[in-house]
Amino acid sequence: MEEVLDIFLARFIFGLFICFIIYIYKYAHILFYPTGKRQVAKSFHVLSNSADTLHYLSRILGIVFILSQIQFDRFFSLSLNSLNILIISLSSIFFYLSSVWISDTVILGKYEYVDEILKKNNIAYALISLSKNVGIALIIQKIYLNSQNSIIIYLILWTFINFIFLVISKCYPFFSFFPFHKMVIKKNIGMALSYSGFITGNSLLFYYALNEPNIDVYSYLIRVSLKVFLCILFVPLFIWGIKILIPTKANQNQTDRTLYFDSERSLALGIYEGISYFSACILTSWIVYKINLSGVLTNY
Amino acid sequence: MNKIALYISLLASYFFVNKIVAPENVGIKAIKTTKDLKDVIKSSPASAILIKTMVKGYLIKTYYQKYRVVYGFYEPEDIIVKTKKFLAEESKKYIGMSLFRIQGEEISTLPLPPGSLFINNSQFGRWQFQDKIFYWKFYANYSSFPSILGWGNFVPTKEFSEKVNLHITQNKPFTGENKEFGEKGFITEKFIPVIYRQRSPVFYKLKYLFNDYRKTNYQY
Repeated sequence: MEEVLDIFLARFIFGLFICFIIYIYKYAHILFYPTGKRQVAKSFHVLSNSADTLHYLSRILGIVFILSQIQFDRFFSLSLNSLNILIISLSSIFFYLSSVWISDTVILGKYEYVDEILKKNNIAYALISLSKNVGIALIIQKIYLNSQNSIIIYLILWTFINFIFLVISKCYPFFSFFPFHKMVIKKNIGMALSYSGFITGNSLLFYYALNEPNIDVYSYLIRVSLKVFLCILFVPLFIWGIKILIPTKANQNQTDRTLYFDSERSLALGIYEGISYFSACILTSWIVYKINLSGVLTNY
Repeated sequence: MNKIALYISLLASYFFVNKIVAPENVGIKAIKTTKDLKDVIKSSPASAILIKTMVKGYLIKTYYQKYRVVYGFYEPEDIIVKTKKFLAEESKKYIGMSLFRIQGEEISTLPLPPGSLFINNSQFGRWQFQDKIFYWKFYANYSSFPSILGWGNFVPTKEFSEKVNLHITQNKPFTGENKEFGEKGFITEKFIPVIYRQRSPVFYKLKYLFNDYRKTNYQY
């Protein structure tokens, strides 16, 4: 009984500890987003602005994803391991917020948080943030798992993967009918859903790509890049296949600009684009990561 | 049209990058003829004995050969090289034999019994007269050579050495006085286990597949 109680208490303490880390995160958030000070203040109310709630909680969700991967093994002393968790958590918070900040600058750099969220209650902007933040969290979680507890490997992987992720995130116009920036201003939910499918699908592929066994960083990066390259080649094929199977009128008439102003039709198109891209990514992950065709040498 | 062109250029760059940097392609040298082994073999004198031929791929096959390189003054090493189909096909019958020899600048690719390079070479051994026959005996430093070369109980005689020289002059492959070496040679059979030389089944018969499936799933 004592042992059960001991383990339960230890878990309870760790629960409190992780809550404390999220509390630290809440304030670390201001360092990167001084404009988001209102979100941390007591005056912040979740019911007052749905876009703000989604925008803020998406970041909490992201850090929760990352923290959930930190492992605790009681091989050493309790204090040493707790210190280890604290260091990993703080570095994860730093790298996650840096990634989110960089991606915000690259993808949504044209818009101000204050204008879009606080003044215009732009739910499309918040949805894009949500998908982007969760996607980045998944990637950082995997980077942490593959960094072998080395800050140098972590830094190399983080820089490299962030770069590729941002480059691919900018390729949205290649696949969608929506003009991204115009639609963000118009608070178009359809485009936001389409972009969410795009970014979540990409994150899923990155998540799988980082699964490669990491023995040597150089060859690991090459293998990851080649897998990403292979994904880039297969995703369009599946999208093309889906478009043949489930054609839309938008396919035939791309110049129909009225589509963007019709919220009903653009929502349907956004759902179609988002889900078809996400499905294409899932199928690509199957083709690239689940089918192992290498290393079979047979006698001749 | 632009998208198709972009896709094709991406595809081409993928193959190009893969060929240059993919870890599975780096480190394995490709040879077109056995003469190209000179780029893989690091020292002279050396003899490369074919140990195994392998194939990889589903629709487009890639052929590999495994050689044991026996150096005169270094430790022997096993190497794997990529090769062409015709070479893999051609050299298959000379398994267990020396397909490449280098001595100084002189290179020979005539299929000969393993160790032909070291026989009658006073740097490695000497002729020993016993029961009216001259036998080749390696010096104590090279006493492990017979097992490395896969000779087993085989001891070369002067007559054997002369026949090797005759075949070199005639430029004809030599599999031994009694065909001891090569695909059907009894010494090679002992040296290289049968399982290494058996061709892998290309197709798994459907009958076996269903039988295996039935046994695995509905045995009880």
